[in-house]
Amino acid sequence: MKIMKTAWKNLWRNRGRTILSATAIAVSSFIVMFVIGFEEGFIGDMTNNLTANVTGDIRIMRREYVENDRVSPLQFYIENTEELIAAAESNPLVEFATARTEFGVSLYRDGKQIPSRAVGVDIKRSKLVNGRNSLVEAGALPAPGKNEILIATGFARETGIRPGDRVTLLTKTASSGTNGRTFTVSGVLSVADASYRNRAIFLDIERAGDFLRMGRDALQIQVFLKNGPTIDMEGAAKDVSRTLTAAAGADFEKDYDLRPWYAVSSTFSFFKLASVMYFFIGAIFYFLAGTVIINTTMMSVLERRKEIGTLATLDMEKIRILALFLAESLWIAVIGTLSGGAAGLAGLAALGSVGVDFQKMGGGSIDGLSASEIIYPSISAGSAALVVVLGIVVTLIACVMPARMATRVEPAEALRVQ
Amino acid sequence: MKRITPARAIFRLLSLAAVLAGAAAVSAQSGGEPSSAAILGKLESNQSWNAGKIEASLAVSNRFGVTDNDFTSWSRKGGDALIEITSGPDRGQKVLRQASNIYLFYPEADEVIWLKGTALRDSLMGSDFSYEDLTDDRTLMDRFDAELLGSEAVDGEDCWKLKLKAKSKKETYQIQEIWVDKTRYVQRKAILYSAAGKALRSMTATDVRPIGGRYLAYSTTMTDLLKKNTSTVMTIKKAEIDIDIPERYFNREELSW
Repeated sequence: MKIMKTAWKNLWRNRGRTILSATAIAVSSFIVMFVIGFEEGFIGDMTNNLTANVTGDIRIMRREYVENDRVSPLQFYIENTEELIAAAESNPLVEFATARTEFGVSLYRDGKQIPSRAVGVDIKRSKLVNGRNSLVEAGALPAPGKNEILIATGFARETGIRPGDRVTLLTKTASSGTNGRTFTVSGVLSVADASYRNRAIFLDIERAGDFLRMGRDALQIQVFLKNGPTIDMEGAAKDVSRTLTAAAGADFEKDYDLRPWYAVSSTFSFFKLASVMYFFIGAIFYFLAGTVIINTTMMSVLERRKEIGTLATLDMEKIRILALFLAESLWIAVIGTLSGGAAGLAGLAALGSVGVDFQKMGGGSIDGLSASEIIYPSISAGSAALVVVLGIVVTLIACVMPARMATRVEPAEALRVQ
Repeated sequence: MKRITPARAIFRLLSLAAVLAGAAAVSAQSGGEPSSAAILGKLESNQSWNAGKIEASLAVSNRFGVTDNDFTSWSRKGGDALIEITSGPDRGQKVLRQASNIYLFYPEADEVIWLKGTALRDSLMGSDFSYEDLTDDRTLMDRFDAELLGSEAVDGEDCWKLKLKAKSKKETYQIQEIWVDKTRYVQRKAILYSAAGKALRSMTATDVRPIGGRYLAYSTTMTDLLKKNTSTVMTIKKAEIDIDIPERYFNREELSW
């Protein structure tokens, strides 16, 4: 404690140098906090979009479809979809399950075929169409049993289509043929997920199945768990699989592909790896800032050789001299990381409330990443604490060498200088 | 007596050679191989009629299984044709060709679809035939330069083998090899190539039967050589040629009847 108090007093003997060192650490801390917050906000957004709009917490599809998904073999749909959904919902871990079919269509308009994607969903239960990140901007949801569709805002803007218009869609079918049908546009849907903002059409799952000649069945079942999506769901996935095997028979695992959401998209795995890299880059940032404090500590040692020699003369152990200089560095590190970290958190809080518009930053490239156009940066308490601890640790490590210089000062040399 | 100069002798020899060569050519025409143009001409006349109706089935096989569709086709000279799917989930759908235009009718669509551009390369009824395969009504001689390569047997039938090279770069299959039955002038086999010489599709025809003074292959197999394990077999169940077909069959406005 006494060393810490002494170190604190020593800091202000050269106020300018202390402020310089602390500022370098603070700037690094601010940047690292901001970048990690941005990255976590992005990952969180992608996780939410992927699970809500595409996979569910757990995705179920026919194994033959997954193995041949390059050619979108619609004939491999889930037979008895409704029975499987009921079986999944009987599992105590499951909040609810819902059917989903995504397929390619051409919208025929003014003599041209415009390729787009169509998604058949349970309109009432779907988080894509009816979730917190979706909004019917104009018109209404499709009525059950009617050949009605929603069109994405970007697609409506591109084509000039409005609620009430009738449009013809063309598609391949599950019976290996083709089909064309005219639908009425019931509304325009705005979805945060950039993948569904432009050439996308949404319709009731039963109408989609009829259009595709797969009856009341679907290509995919999304299962949502009561605990929500996590990054370690192997146990839950196996539990749900056991429930479905009991209901559907021993061939369930042979015929169906059941996997947690993070195992569906390789993009997500890449971003998780990237998040580890960000912390590594953060350490490098801190080390670079630490070169400032190395320099100032070395200067401090050189200027205070007489003082160090005097302390040595008074029988102060080398280890305590080392501890004194490390304590001074520790104070600078704490001041720097906490102030910079606090500024970073304040910046994240401000940006997290208004969001960052990716579309304006060249957002065309985020299509297909399940990312929203607007990202709301945020950082977890654990990550924020880790940023601060990382800053302190890296700074301390950087100051070990100059602090050890102080221990090599001989009492006689110091007196000789005098 | 006039003296025979070397120049005069050479001229007389060349003239004699020309006469002999002409005689040899005439001899070859009258008793030897026909020209490629003659073969194609007979092939085309065998394949064309004023109007005809065919009831057939299309069996499409791929690695996922086999799908069957029955259809009826009406066609007339000039290239107009109407195909109506008569069985299966796509029953009631129609494909109309008017000159080089293709129109699709779906019972549940308000409008008739006009196929253009790359959409013409889409598969017809999920088969290895594309809509583009239906579009061209010009003769082979209009579209290709032909070279007779000789004779070859196909399924035990002696055939002329011809190589066709497209006159226009717009032709989908720039090079074709066809085998024409020497007796019946029916195309027994064909291999269709890209401009780079890559084999794209192959066609074989069997079950050749006489009809109305012509010959028609009642079974045709088309294989996409770029895909594994795919083929389409078209089997004619009933054919009528040189019949009267009402104009409305080839009228776009009447497609919804």
